[in-house]
This record gives sequence, structure tokens and C-alpha cells, in this order.
Amino acid sequence: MRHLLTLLIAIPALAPLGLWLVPRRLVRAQQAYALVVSVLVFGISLLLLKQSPLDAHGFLARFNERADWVPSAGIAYSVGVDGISIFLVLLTTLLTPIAILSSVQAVTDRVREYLASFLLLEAAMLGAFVALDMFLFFLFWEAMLVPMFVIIGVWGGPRRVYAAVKFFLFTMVGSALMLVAILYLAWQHAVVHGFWSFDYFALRDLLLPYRTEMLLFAAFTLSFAIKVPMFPLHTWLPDAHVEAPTAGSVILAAILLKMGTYGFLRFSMGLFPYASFRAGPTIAVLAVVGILYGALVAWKQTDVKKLVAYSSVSHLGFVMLGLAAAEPRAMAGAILQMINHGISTGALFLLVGVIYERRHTRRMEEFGGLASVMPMYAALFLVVTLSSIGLPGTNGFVGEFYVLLGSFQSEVLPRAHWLVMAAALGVVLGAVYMLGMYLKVFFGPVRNPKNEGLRDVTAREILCFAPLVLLIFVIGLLPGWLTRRMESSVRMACAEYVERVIEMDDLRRAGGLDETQSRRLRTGRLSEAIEAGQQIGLIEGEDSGGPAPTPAPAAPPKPIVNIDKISQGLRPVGVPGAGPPSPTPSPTNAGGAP
Amino acid sequence: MEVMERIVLNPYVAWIAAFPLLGAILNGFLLSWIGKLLPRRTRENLLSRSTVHMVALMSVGASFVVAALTAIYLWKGWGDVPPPQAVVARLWNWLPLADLARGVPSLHDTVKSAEVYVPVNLMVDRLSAMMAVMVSGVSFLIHVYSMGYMGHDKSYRRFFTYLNLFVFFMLILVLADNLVLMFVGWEGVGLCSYLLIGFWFDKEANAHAGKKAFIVNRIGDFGFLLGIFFLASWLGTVRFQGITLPNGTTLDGINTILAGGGAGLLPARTALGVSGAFLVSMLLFVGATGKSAQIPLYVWLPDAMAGPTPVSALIHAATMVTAGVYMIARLSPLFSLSPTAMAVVATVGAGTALFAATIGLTQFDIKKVLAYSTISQLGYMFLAVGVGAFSAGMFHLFTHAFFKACLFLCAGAVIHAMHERQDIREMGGLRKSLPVVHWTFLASTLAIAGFPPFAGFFSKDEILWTAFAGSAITRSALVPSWWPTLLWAMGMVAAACTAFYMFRLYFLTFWGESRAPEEVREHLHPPERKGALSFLWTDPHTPVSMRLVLMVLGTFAALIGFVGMPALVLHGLGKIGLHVPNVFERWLEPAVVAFAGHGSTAMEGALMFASVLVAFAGAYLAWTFYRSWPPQPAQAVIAATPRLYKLVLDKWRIDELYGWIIVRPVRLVAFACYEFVDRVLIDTILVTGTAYVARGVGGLFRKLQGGVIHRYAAVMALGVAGVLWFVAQPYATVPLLERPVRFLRYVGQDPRTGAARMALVLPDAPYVYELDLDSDGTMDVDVDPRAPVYDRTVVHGDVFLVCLPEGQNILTVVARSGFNMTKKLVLTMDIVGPVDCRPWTVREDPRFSRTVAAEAPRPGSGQGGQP
Repeated sequence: MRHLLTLLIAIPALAPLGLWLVPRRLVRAQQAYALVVSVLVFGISLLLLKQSPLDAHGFLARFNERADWVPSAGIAYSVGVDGISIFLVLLTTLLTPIAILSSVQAVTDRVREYLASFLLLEAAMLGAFVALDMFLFFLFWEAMLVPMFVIIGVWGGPRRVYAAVKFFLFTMVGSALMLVAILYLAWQHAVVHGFWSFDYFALRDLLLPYRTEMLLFAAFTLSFAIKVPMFPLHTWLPDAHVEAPTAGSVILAAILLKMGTYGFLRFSMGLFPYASFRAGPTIAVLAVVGILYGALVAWKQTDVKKLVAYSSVSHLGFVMLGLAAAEPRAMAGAILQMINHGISTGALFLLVGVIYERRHTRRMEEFGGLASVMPMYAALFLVVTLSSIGLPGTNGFVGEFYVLLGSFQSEVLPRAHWLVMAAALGVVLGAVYMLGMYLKVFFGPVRNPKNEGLRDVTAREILCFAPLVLLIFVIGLLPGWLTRRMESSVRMACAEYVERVIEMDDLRRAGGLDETQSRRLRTGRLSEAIEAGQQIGLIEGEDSGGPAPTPAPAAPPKPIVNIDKISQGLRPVGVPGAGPPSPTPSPTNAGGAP
Repeated sequence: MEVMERIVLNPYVAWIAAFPLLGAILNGFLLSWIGKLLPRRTRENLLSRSTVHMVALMSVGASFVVAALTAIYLWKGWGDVPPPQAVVARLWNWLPLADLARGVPSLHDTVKSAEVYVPVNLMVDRLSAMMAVMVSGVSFLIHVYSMGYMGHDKSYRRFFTYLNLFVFFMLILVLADNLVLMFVGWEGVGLCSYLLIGFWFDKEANAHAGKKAFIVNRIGDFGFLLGIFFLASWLGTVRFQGITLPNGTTLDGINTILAGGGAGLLPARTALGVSGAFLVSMLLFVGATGKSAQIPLYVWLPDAMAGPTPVSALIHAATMVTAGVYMIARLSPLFSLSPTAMAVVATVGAGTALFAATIGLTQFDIKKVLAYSTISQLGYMFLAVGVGAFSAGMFHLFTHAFFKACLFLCAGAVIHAMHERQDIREMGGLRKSLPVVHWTFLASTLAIAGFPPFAGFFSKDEILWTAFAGSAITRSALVPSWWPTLLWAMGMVAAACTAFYMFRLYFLTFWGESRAPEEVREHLHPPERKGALSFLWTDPHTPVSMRLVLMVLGTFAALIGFVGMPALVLHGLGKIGLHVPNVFERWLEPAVVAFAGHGSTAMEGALMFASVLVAFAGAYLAWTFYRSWPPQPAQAVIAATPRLYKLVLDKWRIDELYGWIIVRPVRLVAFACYEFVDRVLIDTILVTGTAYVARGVGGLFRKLQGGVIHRYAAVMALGVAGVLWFVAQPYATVPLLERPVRFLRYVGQDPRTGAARMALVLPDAPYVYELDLDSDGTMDVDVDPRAPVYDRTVVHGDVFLVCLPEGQNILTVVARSGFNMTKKLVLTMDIVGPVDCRPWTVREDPRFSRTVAAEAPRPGSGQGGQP
């Protein structure tokens, strides 16, 4: 139990070695081995669902692990799982065996390397979801890139090299900036505290000047926005999907994209709440544009897989909208929607893979009337389509409903009502393109004689779909089962966010941290200066250094800088309990000075 | 009638919805899965057609029984138990939204709305009981009918699965105790409608019709969803009724809040300039226009006739399309708050009634005529709920379910007998060969046309009468006083049209000589006559299951109106000693809002007479026009107005209009998004462009790395010079913090003396600073940031705190670099008025007593130890 997360990462990371013990000719044995390993990992990951007490940060205390790695640089091996990441971990461990199982027939070339890539990918993804050390996170983040690059580039379609390079370069641009930002943060920690640290919680407590915070936020967010992908950084996605093998697409869409949204929630919003508050409206607008744009473009596609890829842009717009709204219901909805998208889009890619395997084409005009040839397949496709367009009773509805309702009441987004209205139009468009595609592929007469003898789904394929279809309904009908587990984390994340925003906004209102004036202010040092001032007796505090004890003055000072409307409505200064998260211990009473 | 204000919790009412779901699951996949485990013979028995329809029928029948028993319980009570207001099955907490927001601080000081609670609760009150009984009853009959109608279809099992699934969703819609659960049913029935319209999906037109229905409905659902959001954020609840749980906790519901004087929770004026009640009502009404096929979203319903005829009868006439009316009746307290919204509803209803009726005049497809007549009749229902006659609207909904289902099923029987032909120009003379169909069709036609005493007469008459009185909508300042009269007039014209096109349909189908093609006609021989009523069981063209259902529905169409006779008739009956109540209105009394203020009895009588006259006129006109074929009088009218006729025949070309103003522009935008924005702008210009720029820059650097030594040397010299300049020239900026802030609460203006304190933050480059504190032009203090403490200043790292003497607000700072180059900065403090001062004092430094020498020491000032 203690080392469960390590085990989860280590098993798929080391298992590929075993593949080379199996003779090259025994392809089935290799596949079986990989399958068994991934199912084992899934089984182990289910143990995460056991009740566990929470630690101070809302993480499941039972599974936290921390070991120094490079103490001089403050790098540690630190992993943990909370209500936000737990389901993403489970989604990863669930989809990996499904992806492996689905490619048993499709991939016959270099099977050993193929399977190894998937297992390594799983290890990296799990690592990225549970890492609580920024260096470790970055390591896993980059490590994910390589197997995916290989999967697209080796087992992909005709333009696989172009797609793989595009995928790699896009992601690298973002990660390079993120690396700089991570290093800067760690350095700031050193400046303030005197020693380096990459610890997520330590870095979160740094209070940065607005400009700096904004720049670092931008670096992180750009990296995540590419991964999500948000409009207009999405063009690598359709190419990557179209060229990737089915299982690669499944993992790419279902989990890798979640890395972006997860990263945004955990790191962009966690580390830089005030910057994400200020950027929230922009992000939300981009998200809504993405919802509508992705839907419209999906409508124009003739390749089923490309359509599903663009639909991902649209669906992940909902996730980003929910996150940008920073409202607990919207945030829970966004997390739900991440999982939902993983399930339904994963299933959609699998389904597309089924006909691709049979016909080696994905162009809609090649099909038509498949419902009469492959009724079971059509039924499965319909269920997943309905989940994708958010029919109530399926998981898609719950996520969208939470996101939209939460965003509707968001305090962060100005004109949230209009944003939600525009986003809800995406729900209409979703029906347009998905049902349009369904009609073209499944309804009408069987025009193409090649489609006449197509085999319906096999038992193996049904085995792939069964858990996903089951989850579509389970989450659709009993979302409480999931939201109960994310509750505390979401509440904590939101509360933290709101408190930090209120605090930073106080500063700005007071004119203290105006961007032109305090470009280089580092609060940590200032508080030390104040402490020094107390010690020499120049300054004395009447209270003993706890949170500001007075209630807010009736009329807050007139802000010097032009603060926009949102800030006008903010709570006045001095909310009890919202003390500065000063990295140093608060100054004790001056009486304690020598 | 005495109604107890009492909610009874009873999980068994959930079976009303659960039985059809069970049926759908069994037929859908469970039986065939079980069958796989069984030996072949047993499997064949299990999977036979008779099992299919037995499962389907029994599930809907059981649902009907439970619904009817619950209705009786609501009416009469159960033994000694008095009748409750509602019976509720609490199943589970579906969307536990409330738990998420608990304890999260608010960014603004706004009070968050109460936490939304979305349970899966099924509530049977009088309104939903009536609907549930009607839905399950009519569904049962149509299931029976389908046994015959679909008997030879290869997808028999799939058909009944969808049908059962539809009944399930419809019952969820009806029984939901909150808007979100209603939305589940709302979209669920839309899904089943989609599946059933496209039931014969190998014909592409059918599939397109299904898709169109779903998408048009989704546009409506978009409004519905936004309405839910607004209501949820204003009222903090999505439930309809308040409910007191057995443990005493009271949960609020929309209707209880609004009825209990909580209307003020809805803003009187929203950002759009309209009242909150109006906004929400309109958004929900958009949903209703989608589902109930009203202007402007009616376009899907005529196309929906592509589905099998029982489906048209059940979904697109009797049940699903009335959901909008039901929803408005359910939320009658909400709609009543905004007379303007009510007026919009009524006007759209009257407009649709008239508009669809005009199209119905010209159509030749038997099902299309009925489809437009459905739209038109739904318009009447909206007119009714719009003018506040919620009960009358529900009554028309109720009667319409029977006569319209009957009409459609008759049409189905006709189509069946005509070998899938639907064009009434090919029919004629069917009254002899299809006597049962003929008589039931006639009864229903009389009912829909409003002939007394058939069902439609009572319900339609009450609607027109209330519209004429119009007391509910004239409360709005925007509605002129003649508006109700206009609505009434539109209703009357529509009634005339209804009578005309229904009798046109009737005469063209059943009268005259047969115009069927030879191969059909030879099958259409009349049944053997063995006695006066022998045709009831000897009709060879209609399977017995279909005939039975038609007879039941035809009887209902003729007689069901008596449960809701108008006050005038009841009054008359009272005079002759027959004291019967208006059962229907009494029944709904506790469930919907009722507006008082009808006009005089004489006026009611006059209007009733007028509407009967109009019905007769319409029927007579149809008789003169279409008695014989070819219909010469009709053709003369057509020849007189060819363009108008063509326009109406083309359904006013509304579909084309929508194509031009909505579909094409959106397609164009989508095209532009993909072809231009995505491919050209982003992928080519931005992405590939960036790649080219990168390559170009790379090429530039490659040239620099050419290995030419003197070029390297030149670059190096430039670099060294740059670095030197950078070091020599102070680039210091001194940010000034002049207001007390949370972290700087030690500094600021001293409240007692007004002496300004300021904090400086100096750059940490190795500069030395000189400060002029009192603006006399000479530098008072040297500061080396690396040295610790000076009087009047605190230095720690590069943070630097300064006290300015009293009255001073200008500080001059000179930064000096190691190369003795200087940069002068003049900082002005801008403190006006009293500053928000925390309870911090600045302790006077004895070494610098000049500033505040006269100051009396504060009590707390001695506590700090001095170094």
C-alpha cells in the first residue's frame, strides 16, 4: 500500500524488459504478456479506491511517497494522488489494456517494440499524473513524448513521419518554455528561502510579482494549451490522429490530451492562481471559440477519424471552460468531462479502428448502410455517439451539465451567461456533426458492394468496448460515485484559488503590487526586511504576527491603478483566515528580539 | 374538493416508468443474451415474435395499471387514507451538485444561490397522474395495434424495444419532479423519436428526417437548458414542488417558491432589459416550440411522418409532442408571473394553429395532412396555456391524444390496405371496404373539427372562449386590449380550416369512386355482410388487433369530452336536474394555476354557437369541393390563385427559407473555418511559416559560424563592449511602495503624525545609493544594500525601508555604479487623505528623534526590546 504509486509506475516501466525474454516469433505470447501486465497494473490501481484519510493538501495520505533524489538541487521523488488525479490514473490503467487488446490483430510488425512503447507510455503517463515534484513531473512529461512519437512515426499511416514530427515539435515548444518556468520558480525558491526546491507545494507558496507570475503562467499554460489542444494550437491533433494507429489514437485522445487539462488545473491554476484569475476570461473565450470552432470544422470532415479528432477540440473546450470558471461545480464537471472524453472518444477511436481494420479506409462516402450489415457494431457506435453528444443518462451529459451550470454561476468570468450560451450552442452542433456522420456511415442502403460481407464485431472487440459502454451508463446515472471522491480536492483547490485571488487583489487594490512599480519585488524578502526592521525596533507590530486581526475597513482605499470591473466587486481587505501565505514563519512579537 | 397538502413517499410508483424500461431491456438485449445460453428449441420460443410483443404489452400494461391505481389513490384515497397531494418515489441523488460548492469562499460578496439538488424522484400528482395514465393507456393501445401493423416487419423486436424505451422516457418526462430529470425524458423521447422516424433506415430520406427531428429539437433543448441554468442560479432549485420529507426537512421547489411569494427572487430586470420571469419563460418556451413543433421550430414534424404509422400516432401526435404544453402547465406559476411571456406563448400558439391549418388545406399525403393538423392542434393548446387556461389546454391535450391517435391509426390502416400508398388522390371509396376504419375516422374527424358533442368540441370551445376573454395576458402593458380578440379570431379561422381540411381528407379517402391502381383495387373488396354489425369482425383488410384499437379509440374520441364540459353546458344540465361537475377541471384544480374572470354566459353561448357554425361551414365547403373527383370547385379556386396555392402547397417554403438564412450560412462558416482558418491561416501561414522563419534564422546563424576568425573577434568585441556598458551604466529603477498593504502593513502613513513612511525596493545589482530625505538638495544618507542597518532606513537584502520626515513626500535617490556613473530618480509619494492604517505603529528610533520628538510614547511602544 505504501508504495502503490511507485509500483504502478515501475511495473509498466520495467515490464518491457520481459518482452525480450519471449522469442521474437511468439507474437501471441508477447501480446498476452503485455496484456497481463497492463491488466495487473489496472488491478493494482483499483486499490487506490480504498478509503484513505486525506493529508493537509487533500491528497490520499496513504499513498503519498517522498524520497530525496538530488538533495542539493531540491529535487525529490515525490508522488501522490488526490481526487483530481485518481480518476485520470484509473483511466490510464483501464485504457492501456484496452488499447493493447485492440491492436492484437491490427499490428503485426515489430510487435515487441510496439508493446514496449505502450507500456513505457503508460508508465510515463502515470508518473506525470502523480508527480508532485516539478522536476519529476517534467521528466515524465517529456518521457511521454518519446513512445508516442515512436508509435505514430513507426506504426502510423502514410504521412506518419510528418505527423509525428509535427506532434513532437508542437509539444516541445511548449515544454521548453515550461522547463524555463520551472527552473525560474525553483530559483525563486532559492532566492527567498536560500535553498532550491522543486516541490509543488513549496513552489505554490511562493508569492510572485504580478508580471512574473503572469509570464510563468503563460509559459506553463502555453505548454498545456498545446497539449489540450486549445484553439488555435490544435492543428497537430488531426494530423497525429489520422496517422496514428488505432490504439495510439485511443491513448492520445483519451489520456495524453488530459495531460494538458490536468496540467492546467494542477499547475497553471495551482501555482499561479492570480495570473489564471486574470487570464481566466481569455482562456474561457478561447475555450468557447474552440468548442464552436471544433464542432464546425468537425462537421466539414469526410474522414471519420479526423472528425472525431476535431470533436476532441470541441469537447476539451468544455473542460477548459469549466476550469477557467474556477467554480467548484464547473471544476468537478471539467474533471468529469476529462474522464468522459477519455471514455467516449477512446471508444469512438476504437470503433473507427474496427471498420478501418476491415476496410482500410475511413472515408465516410465509402460506407453507408452499415447498420444493416453490422447491427451490433451500429448499436455500440450509437451508444458512444449519444454519449459524445451528451444525451442525458450518459456520462457526456453529466460532465457538460456540471461545466455549464458551474460556469454559468462563475464569479471569475465576466459575462459568464453569454459564454455559457455560446458554449451550449456547441451542444447543438455536436448533434449536427455526430449524427450527420452516423447517418452517412450507418444509414441508407448499402451502396458499396465491398461493405456487404463485413463481419460484425468479434468477441475480442466487444471485450474492448464492454467496460467503456458500461462506464458510459454508470457515470451517466451515478456520477455521485465519482464526484464524491473528488469533492474535497475540488473544494480545496477552489478555496485556495479564491483566497489567493482575494489576497492578491487586495494587494493590487492597495497599489502595493502594481506591475510598473514592483517589478522586482519579492515578497519573501520584504517580509524578512520587515522582520529585520522589527528586530532593530524601527517597526513594531502590535499583534504577534498572525493573520490580520481587524475586520475590513468600511471603504477600501481608492485604487491608483485602473482595476477592471471584476476587481471592483471583490471582497474588501482583511477577510479573516485569509492571511498571507508567507513562506517564512510569521514575525513573532517584537518583544522576542534580542 | 378537499385536497390534503400532503406528500406520500412511496417507491412503488417508480414502477410506472420502470416497467417499460424493463420491457425495453428484455427485448433489447437481455432475452437474446439469455437465449444464447439455452438449447435451440427453447431459444426459438424465447425469441419468437409472440414473446416480443407479450413482453412489450405486459410492461406497458403493468405501467398503466400502476398509474391508474395511483390516480385513483390521488382521487379517492385508499381505504381510510385520505388522498394525498402527490405520491413521490425518491430513488437516488443523481447530481450531487450541492456537496461540491459547500464551504468554498465566494470571490464577490454576492450571496450564492441555494445549492441545487437534482434527485431522481418520480412524482405523481394530479397533473402527472393524468398524463401518466394517458401516456401509458394510449401507448398500450398503440402497442396492440402495432402487433398487427408491424406483424411482417423483419425488425419486429427492434421496433418494440424502441417503443418501450419511448414510453419509459415519456413517463420520466411526465413524472420528473425537477426540470433536469424532465430534461432527461425530454431528450430521451427525442432520441426514441429519432430512432423511430429513421426506423426503416435503409431509405435515406427516413434517416434524414430522423436527424432533422433530433437537431431541430436540440435547438429547442438549447433554450430549455439555458432556462434551467437561469432558474437554478436565481431560485437555487430545479424542483417543481416543495416537498416535506418525513424527517421534517422542507425542500423548496420552483412552484412553491413562486407561489409562496418568492417571485422577487427572479430579477425584475435582467441585463437584457426584460424581467427574469419573462426571460426564463421564453427560454423554456423555446424548448417547448422544439418538442411541440411550434413556430419557428415546427419544421421537423411533417418530415417525421417517415416513421411507421403507429409511431406517428404515439409519438408525433398523442404523447411526445404535447410535452411542451405539459411543461408549461407544470410551471404555470412561473409563466403566470410574466403576462408578456404568456402573450408570446398564446400568440405563437394561435399563429401556429392558423399557419399549420393553411398548409393542411393543400396537402395530399394522408399523414402529412394529419401532421399539419397535429401542429395546428398543438397551437391551440399553446394558445390555451398562453391565455392562462392551463386546465383547458391540458383538456385539449387529453382529448387530442385520443382522436389524433385514432386518426393516425386509421390512416395506418388505410395505408396498410392501400399497399403502402399514402396519396389521397389515389384513394377514394374506402368506406365500403374498410367500414371500421371509416366509422372511427369519421368519429375522430367530427371530434377534431369541433362538432358537438364529440371530444374536440368541448376542449376547443373552452380554449377559444378563454382566449376571447384573455384576462391573463392583458395584464401586460405591452399587450393591447384587442389582442385577445385577434387571438380568438385566428383560432376561429383555424377552426374553419380544420373542419375543411379534415373533411376534405375524409371525403377524398372514403367517399367517391376508388381511384386506386388496378392491382390495389382488386384486393379492396368489401367485407362479407352477415348482419348489421358483422363488419366489426369480418373486415379482411385490417388485422383484428388494429380494428379493436380503432374501435376503442373511436369511442373515446366520441365520448371523452364529457369529462370536461363547459360551464354553460353544465349550467344547462343543472337546470334540467343533472348536476354533473366538470370532472377534468376539478381534477387539475390543485395542480395548475387558474385565472378567474370569464365573461358573461350569454357571450359564451354566442361564441359557442359561432364555433359550431364555423365547423359546419368548413365541413360543408369540403363536401361541395371534394364530394366528387376530380374536385372541380377546388380546382376553380386553385386556378384563380395559382401562385398563392403553389406557395401554400410548398408549405410556405419555410424549409427553403431556413435553408437560406440558417443552414447555408452556418455551412459557409464551417467551410471557412476548415478550409481557410484551419488549413491556410493556422496550418500554413502560422505553423509552416514559423518553421520557415526558424529555418531562415538558423541559416543566418550558420553563416556566423563560418569559421572566419576575424568575424568571431568582431562579434566578441561587440559583446564585451555591451557587457561593459551594462555594468557601467546604472539601470536602476526604484519601485516605490507608498500604500500600506497586507505585507507592508508596517509602513505607510503614521496616523498620529501624518509622517510618511515608505518602502523602497532596490535592484540587487551592485549599486550604492544616496538618498535625499528632506528635499533640500543634499544627499542625507548613503546606502549600501549590502550593509545592514542605517538610521531611518532598514536594509535587508535588496529590500529597503525608509522613513521620511513629517510633511515630506519627495524622495530623491541617486544610484551609483561601480564605474561611478549615476542615475537620479525622484520619487513622489502620493498619499492623500487618511490611509487605511492597520494597528501597526512605527516605533521611533531614538537615534533619529528629530521627526517625531514631540510625540507621546504609545502604551505599547516600550514592549519591544532594543538592540
